[in-house]
Amino acid sequence: MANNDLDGLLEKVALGDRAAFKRLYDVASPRLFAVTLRILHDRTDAEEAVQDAFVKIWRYAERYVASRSKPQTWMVAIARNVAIDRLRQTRAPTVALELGETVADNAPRPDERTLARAEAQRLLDCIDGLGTRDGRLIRIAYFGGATYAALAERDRVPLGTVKSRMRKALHDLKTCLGA
Amino acid sequence: MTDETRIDALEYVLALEDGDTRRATALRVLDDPDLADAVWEAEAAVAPLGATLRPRAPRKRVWKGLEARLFDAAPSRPRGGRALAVSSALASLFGAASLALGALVAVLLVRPDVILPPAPEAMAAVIGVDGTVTLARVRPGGTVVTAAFAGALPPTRDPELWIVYEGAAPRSLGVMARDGQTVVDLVRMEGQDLSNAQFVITDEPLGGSPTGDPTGPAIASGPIQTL
Repeated sequence: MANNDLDGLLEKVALGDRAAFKRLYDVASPRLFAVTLRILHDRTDAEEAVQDAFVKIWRYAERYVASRSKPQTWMVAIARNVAIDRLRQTRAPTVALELGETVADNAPRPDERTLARAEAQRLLDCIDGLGTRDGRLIRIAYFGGATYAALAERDRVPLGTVKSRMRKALHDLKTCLGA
Repeated sequence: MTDETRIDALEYVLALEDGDTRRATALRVLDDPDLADAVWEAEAAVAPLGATLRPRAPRKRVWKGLEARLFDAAPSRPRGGRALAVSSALASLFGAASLALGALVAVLLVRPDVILPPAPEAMAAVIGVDGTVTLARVRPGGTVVTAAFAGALPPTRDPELWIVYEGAAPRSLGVMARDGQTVVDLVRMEGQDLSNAQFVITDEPLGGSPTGDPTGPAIASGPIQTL
């Protein structure tokens, strides 16, 4: 669904319109569920995360109006954060990292139906441009699996080393996206 | 915006930090409009990764559960009155103020997801009808610290800070300083959670309301967010 339509729905939701909320849920929940499922790897857990995310969307929709982000970005950010918090409460960091690695090795490719195909391809190109190791880490991180602490523990290197390597990769990613 | 800020934002959005460090950044996002802007830029930049996943509908019971959580407990009522049972004037105040939000407030408001357990701190951006923002924080020890009152009031009037729990009458936290921080003890209410409360500032005679209840109009309000 186009961002404009989602915008309109969110504005109605902000006014307490339950029918609009149901419609927003129908339209947006499959995308949010895809994200939480990818992070949590457990259907029930991921569904609970979607439910928590929509509770927040309902409660905070009136404030979305003040944001300058696209509705899809705003909602996905909420769902991702809910799922990542849940992941970190329920799984040990190294387990989360292993889960994340499985995801990264099935590297996502742009969904043909996505409206942001060109944007997605550009981001994936930039990530690929970082090299196998760092690009992989960014994918793992996006889906919630990688923390500096878990990476340092797995590789048996100091936290500072992991951190400076990753910040260098983020710098390169930012430069590539900004180019 | 510096490169360093943009990298901090990507680091935060990718959730590479955890625990207290992540929480500290979440607080910085609220205090630093530049970082807040950068966080949204970073969210937008990495969003295509999420869009690469094939959408998949959750089971029907997820919607049923959501409906039960949101709508079963309370009777239907318009949104404007949800957080604010004090007066409709206050509700319209929030509407007016939302037109004048800056980046800081935008992020505070759109990032309910920065709420991370456990909750050591709560804060609010108290937004004025004139668009000014006064930050207020509840420290873990139970004191409220606010920045200097940012709005405009004639010297013959004083700004008074109130805490308003959901469905309850405002409770005074005292007159606010205009030239520096105000530090006061929080008034708690049994059975009431801070995350359902908000700070309201009213326009009062010098020395504060003579009655213990607000006597002047509300000039600023902001919901408390638990971090």
